[in-house]
Amino acid sequence: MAHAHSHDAAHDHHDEKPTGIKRWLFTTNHKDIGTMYLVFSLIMFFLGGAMALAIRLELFQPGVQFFDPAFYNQMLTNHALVMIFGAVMPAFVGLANWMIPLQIGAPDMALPRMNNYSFWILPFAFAMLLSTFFQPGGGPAAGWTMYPPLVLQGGNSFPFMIFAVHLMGASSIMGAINVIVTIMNMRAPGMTLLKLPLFCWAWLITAYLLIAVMPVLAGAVTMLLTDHFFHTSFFNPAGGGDPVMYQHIFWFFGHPEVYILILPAFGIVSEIIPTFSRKPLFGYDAMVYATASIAFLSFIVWAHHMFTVGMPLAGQLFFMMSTMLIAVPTGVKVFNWTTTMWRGSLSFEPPMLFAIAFLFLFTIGGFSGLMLAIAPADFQYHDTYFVVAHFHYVLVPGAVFAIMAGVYYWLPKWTGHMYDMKLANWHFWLSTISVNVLFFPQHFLGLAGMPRRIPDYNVQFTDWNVVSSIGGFVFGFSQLLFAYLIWKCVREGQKATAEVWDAKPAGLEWTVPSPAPYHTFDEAPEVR
Amino acid sequence: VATDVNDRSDVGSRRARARRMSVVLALVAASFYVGFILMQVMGKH
Repeated sequence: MAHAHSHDAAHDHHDEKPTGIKRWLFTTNHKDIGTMYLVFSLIMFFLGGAMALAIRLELFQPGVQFFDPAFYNQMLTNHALVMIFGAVMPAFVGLANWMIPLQIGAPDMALPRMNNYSFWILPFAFAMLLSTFFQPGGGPAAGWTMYPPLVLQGGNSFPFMIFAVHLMGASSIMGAINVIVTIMNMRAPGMTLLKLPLFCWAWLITAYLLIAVMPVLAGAVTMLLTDHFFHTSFFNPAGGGDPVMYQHIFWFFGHPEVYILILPAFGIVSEIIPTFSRKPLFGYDAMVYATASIAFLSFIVWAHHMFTVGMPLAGQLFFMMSTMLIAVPTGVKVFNWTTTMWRGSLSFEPPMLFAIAFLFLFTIGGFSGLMLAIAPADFQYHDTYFVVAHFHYVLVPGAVFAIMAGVYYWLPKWTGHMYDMKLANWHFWLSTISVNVLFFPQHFLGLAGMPRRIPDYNVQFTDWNVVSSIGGFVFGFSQLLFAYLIWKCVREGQKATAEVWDAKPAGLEWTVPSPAPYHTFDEAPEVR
Repeated sequence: VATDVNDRSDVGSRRARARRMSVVLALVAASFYVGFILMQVMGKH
């Protein structure tokens, strides 16, 4: 990473900021907007987590004990929508808002007013989605995939859900445009593309993915809307339409979406591992090309989600092979992270602990993904808890752990305080142990044939469900430590230095004081 | 997109380039939206 000189010490007097509610409503400051995204995502994480706990409570024992099956379906659907679009994606956008300008030496995002709009759309979108719980018929219950014809029977909640999804998509597209325009136009002099921090690279590629696929989701749900209210027949066989076509369109969005949820995580981990290994990242260029390759391949694998729908043998072979091909660039990344640590002078601060856990546990999710890529095997695994275990390994100890690693890495830079390391270690160990207790048994349940998306099950599945639910409750309540730790760090703590970590992290963000002043890089730094 | 990162003097042209790039990206997104719907409308049934 290049070294840089910052002139910010001379600009500390620029740190005046507006106060009161207007600061947050009308702000165009990337740090304020980043903070709002992160707080919003934490709230959504707890809301989606509460729904997950409701699901695990119901599944603690066979039989229907706590919730009506229709309400269970609503919990399941909204858990996914809230976690994907409300927790994980906004958390990455929040980190992007905070860190991209600081990492490229820019004073702010390129389109600050649009940045404000793209955040403030989100609370309205989720208020609309979640308000359906208080309407007759309750919330949407057809799963986050919204397959017709089931979703068309959704009652009052259906148009609310569709409009909410449109708003979330618009917010994501605006955020993506902002990221691309910022990185392409506002880099400090001397910062060529191949000197860009990997978090920025990962986000740049993610932003292109977002622009390509969020409109496809919007198109799909618009067609659902017109099928329901305007008597079109896009997905209705009685009028010449095809419900399977919806699945193709949805997954043309859905698979790149998986990478939208994981590529920024790769970027975060690529920042943390070199710092706490006290070595430069092994194979920087290869990491960039691997990220771009994963993004490209994500467009040609979508039908592996629908092997069981039926498709020609050539189609099955194509989608099976292309899916397996993704293991190559992903393997390059895992190899490079491991090689960065090899013979490094490692230390195990909380960000590094979460990054190492990510490395191991995301790889488990990757391996089970390879198992699912094998078409004949997928016929057995499809719609079982094996799939649930697979994508939760990718998204929880994968994406969510990377977000936590990022928060633990940059939190002192944001607040100006070091956080309680002991508490952070407790949070790490409780989370890492319990997340495995929660999700690993779900592999066994799936292989034994337990179907997903059901509130009741055969008694033979009881034992592992009990274990999984216990893990779920421990994991869920452990996250309260995380919230408390952040709250405590904002209020008090040992003063953080500009570099924060003894490991001497590289990057422009460590050249500004902690907490980062309200306005940074009024004068562009020189990158050598 | 070519970006002259060393050019600090021409703020105006950089601003214009940023605006142009945002419009192009928004149009790409809009064309994906319309394109996928049109593909369905015009497909054989």
